[in-house]
Amino acid sequence: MTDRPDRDVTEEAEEVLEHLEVAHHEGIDPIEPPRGVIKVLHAIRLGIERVTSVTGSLSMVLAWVVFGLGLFNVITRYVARFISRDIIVGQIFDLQWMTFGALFLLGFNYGVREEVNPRIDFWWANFKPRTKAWIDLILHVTLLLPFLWVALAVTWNYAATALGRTFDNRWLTWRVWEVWERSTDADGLARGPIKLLLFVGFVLFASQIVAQVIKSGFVLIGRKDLADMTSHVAPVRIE
Amino acid sequence: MDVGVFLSMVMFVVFIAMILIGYNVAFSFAATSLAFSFIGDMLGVFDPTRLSVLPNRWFGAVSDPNLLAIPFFVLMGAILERSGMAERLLTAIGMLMGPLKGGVAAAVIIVGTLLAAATGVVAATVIVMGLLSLPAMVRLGYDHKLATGVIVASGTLAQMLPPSLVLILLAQQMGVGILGLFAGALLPGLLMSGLYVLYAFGISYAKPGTGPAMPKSERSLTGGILALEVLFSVIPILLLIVAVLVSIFLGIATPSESGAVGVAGALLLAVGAYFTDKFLVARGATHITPKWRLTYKTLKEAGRSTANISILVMTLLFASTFFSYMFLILGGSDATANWLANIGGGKTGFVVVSMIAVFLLGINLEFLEITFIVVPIFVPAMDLLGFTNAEKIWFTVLMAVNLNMAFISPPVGFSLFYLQSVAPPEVKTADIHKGALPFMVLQGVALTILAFFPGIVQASFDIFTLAE
Repeated sequence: MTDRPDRDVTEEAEEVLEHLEVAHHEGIDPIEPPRGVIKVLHAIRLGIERVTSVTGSLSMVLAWVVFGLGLFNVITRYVARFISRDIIVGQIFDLQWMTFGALFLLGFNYGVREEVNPRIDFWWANFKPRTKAWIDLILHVTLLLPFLWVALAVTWNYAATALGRTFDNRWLTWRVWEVWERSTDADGLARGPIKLLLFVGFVLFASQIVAQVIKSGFVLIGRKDLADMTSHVAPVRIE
Repeated sequence: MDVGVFLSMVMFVVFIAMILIGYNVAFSFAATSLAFSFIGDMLGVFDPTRLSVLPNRWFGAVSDPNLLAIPFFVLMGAILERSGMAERLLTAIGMLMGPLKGGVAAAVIIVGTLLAAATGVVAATVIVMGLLSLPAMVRLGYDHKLATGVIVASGTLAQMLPPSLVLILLAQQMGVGILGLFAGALLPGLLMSGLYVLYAFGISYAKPGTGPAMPKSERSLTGGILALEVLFSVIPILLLIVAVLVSIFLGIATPSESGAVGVAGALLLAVGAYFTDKFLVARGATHITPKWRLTYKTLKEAGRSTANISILVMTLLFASTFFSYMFLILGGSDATANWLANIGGGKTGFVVVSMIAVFLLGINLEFLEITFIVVPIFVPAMDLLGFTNAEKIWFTVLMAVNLNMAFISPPVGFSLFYLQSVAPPEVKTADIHKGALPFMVLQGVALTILAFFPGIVQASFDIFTLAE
């Protein structure tokens, strides 16, 4: 029931999916070199997105690490049952969810840049690029960045406490690993680092939003060539 | 009306307005919540020091063992979709059932069901079936509406049958166990699949010309090779499904650990496909060329989709956590819960109203948004009405069926979109949209049956929660 017996449908499907999934970056080659303030902003934007690319690739690798840890866990559990001896490694279980945490916390910025989060493109699809840039710029600056500021403040407080800062805001030692929050389980991993990662995640998130604001600004001053805006052919698949 | 409650209602309206103009949904959650925490502070109904509990809630999401299942099942699906399995199943079962009227359509549904239980990936299933079966059905003279309808409907079953992202997220938001929800959704999912098969055969026999039988000249696979192909394609996937679901249902492994087993199984299956193909070719099969599937690119792409989907879901979850917290503190939750609980008709009234609401939202929104927007509103009302855990699972299954309709409801359903991207030119978009309608009716029928006979979900739950 295939059309051509020799054709490789899986590969074809993969190409279609890739075409649908890949975010299209517009205006990567600048028409004229940026000068003055624009040059500085452009450099800041590029610097931020370099970090984004690195953490984005890292989260891809972490997906496989999470799998490796999960598989290790299953195997040790079965072996433990088989030889009826307790070799379940609590640390690995903790490491597993912490790695998953790292996967998406370090990927927040990548998600923002690649627009993996959905928009309702009911009207959006028909807006002009300038209208889109205005909507994003205004809402990013007036509401989202303040939110991220609040988020940074509260998560920093949370992380600092977990890293051993005392309630009267003193740091007892710079060697935080001696005083950071331990696990409530006997063989669990310390909670300090993952709580710090919550803060780091929001730092990355906020930095990429700054880059998005700069890019929207470029679109509005007519330098779309510098903006490298992401657009999708399709809604990103979410299942 | 209380100032806080009024504010929370305004907050909701502002949020809807913001997502309608196309601002990122996750950002809209965060932005409106921040704005209204500020306004609430000025009007003296919100104490900003309460914001310091947010990290604790976020950390709860990071360390939630149920959400940990997401990367495993996504990775498993991403590998399977590149393993060539869908292709083999479609060829084998299509050839097997082709001689019957409507047989190819039924084969598509059966393959869709098998893939659904193994992967939970809608897009890939719809696209592969669209590339492979749609041209074949068009050539055989199938009615275009029937041909497209079976593809979108059965591809979308991936969301209904465990393991699926929809069920994992619904379980997390509803506060029911993943195991229980998976068990409760299994029979209802099979019920839907059964209704689709009945419809495909029914209409093909009732209306001549909608689903003709495959002529002899089309049957390129026969006899021993066909039998082997059926065995080689069906047995591994059945083993994989059984391994994953049984290890969850027996309580041997947590859902995430079963996911790990599933990923390992998917890798094995992709490797095994190469050797069975070689074996078949050695036996004289000409319809395939053996191909090594586990390339570096495949592994990289699989990691990429896993990261993308995890980031997407968790960003939304973080933002909606803030939103539902504000909604709670301002008093909106209590107010809507009271309103929903006193809507008349008790539990029945609530179920009817909420199902209508979800259906209406489903016309324009996708399942993720619906899950994160309405479930936090429903849960307090359900607690107020005294829903037991079993009733919560039943309600969640109803919601899953309802969300299934959102996937294929024209004009914005995801599945329709995927099929459009690969449909041959003679299949019109209008046909794809019209083709989905009878299947939406069937989903509606399934929803009604399950609503009137909660025993089906209960039975499914009782049969498959083998642990107790």
